[in-house]
Amino acid sequence: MSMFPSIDIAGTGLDVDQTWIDTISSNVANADDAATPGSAIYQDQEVVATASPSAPGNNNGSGVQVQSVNVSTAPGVLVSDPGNPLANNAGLVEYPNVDIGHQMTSLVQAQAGYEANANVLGNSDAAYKAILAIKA
Amino acid sequence: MIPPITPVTAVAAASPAAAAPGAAAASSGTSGTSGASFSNVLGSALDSLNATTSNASTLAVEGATGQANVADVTVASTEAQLAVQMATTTRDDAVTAFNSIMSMAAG
Amino acid sequence: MDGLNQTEVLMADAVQSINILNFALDAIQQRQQTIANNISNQDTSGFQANVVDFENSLASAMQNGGTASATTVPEGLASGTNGNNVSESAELSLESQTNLENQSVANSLQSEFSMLSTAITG
Repeated sequence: MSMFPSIDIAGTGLDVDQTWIDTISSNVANADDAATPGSAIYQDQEVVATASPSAPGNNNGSGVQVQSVNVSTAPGVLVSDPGNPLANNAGLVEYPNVDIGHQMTSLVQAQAGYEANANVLGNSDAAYKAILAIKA
Repeated sequence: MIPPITPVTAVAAASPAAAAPGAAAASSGTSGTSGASFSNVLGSALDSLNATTSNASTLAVEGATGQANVADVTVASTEAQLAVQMATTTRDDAVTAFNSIMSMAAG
Repeated sequence: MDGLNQTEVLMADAVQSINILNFALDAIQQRQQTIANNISNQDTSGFQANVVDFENSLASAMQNGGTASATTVPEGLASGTNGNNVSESAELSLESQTNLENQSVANSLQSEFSMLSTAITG
């Protein structure tokens, strides 16, 4: 932590929210990538965040960090589409197991989080400047 | 080439404010205030000027490395500036008084 | 000689005020840091929000003497389904309040220092 810990912490929040938004974007962009059943398919990714560890003596936190990006192992969704060039002998095509509704909900959360952290960043900057303006 | 930087020793924990009852002392982790030495300076004990300015320098360095908080650093540096002002004013008054006395020694 | 004593009293009062305000300002920074931490972790599974208390400790020290301290304690709100209990709206509101406190204490400190500067330089 620097002399301006609130700014550092807000920064970590922005980083994690950005990673979250990027991951959601990837999921949504690849959700319609059809594949022949049995071949490689896009797997949904989920960001898992954890509170950043604090140095001894710091009781007020160090922000947040990405603990892991979990890649789903769920099987894809089989859809009947005999006309599709990728369809197998049974006329089936496989789509990634991405829950678009869940992605949209997550996106709203991530964006709200990003905005809140940006708010903290701006306000903390102004607050520290108020202290730095003190002079004899 | 930049000369090697000597290690900074930890600033002693905050000392209680000047005499009056009900004074509150800061309890702020590793950084400290120079309340007692600052009040001594204002009471014209010029030895404490050194302690006040030295404390400000130490805190400034600790602040730069994230070991002190901005409130303590700013207050200490402002106190040091006032302490120097005080010492300068005291010295100027002393010099003026000395000169007045010397000019009175007329035959 | 009377004028000199008045100045000394003014200075002693100012020094005591400065020490108290310094403590308050430091505690307010800790509060801001905790709020920033809560907000950055508002979606972290299992995260529990904290708050910083110092006003009661300071009031008590000013009345009875002794050391004041700022302590960080759990906020104690109910958790949601993922074990997280951060309320974004409550934190943002607390953040605004804290910023105003910060400005107010900074202004008070500046007043004390300006007063001392005037007293010293005449």
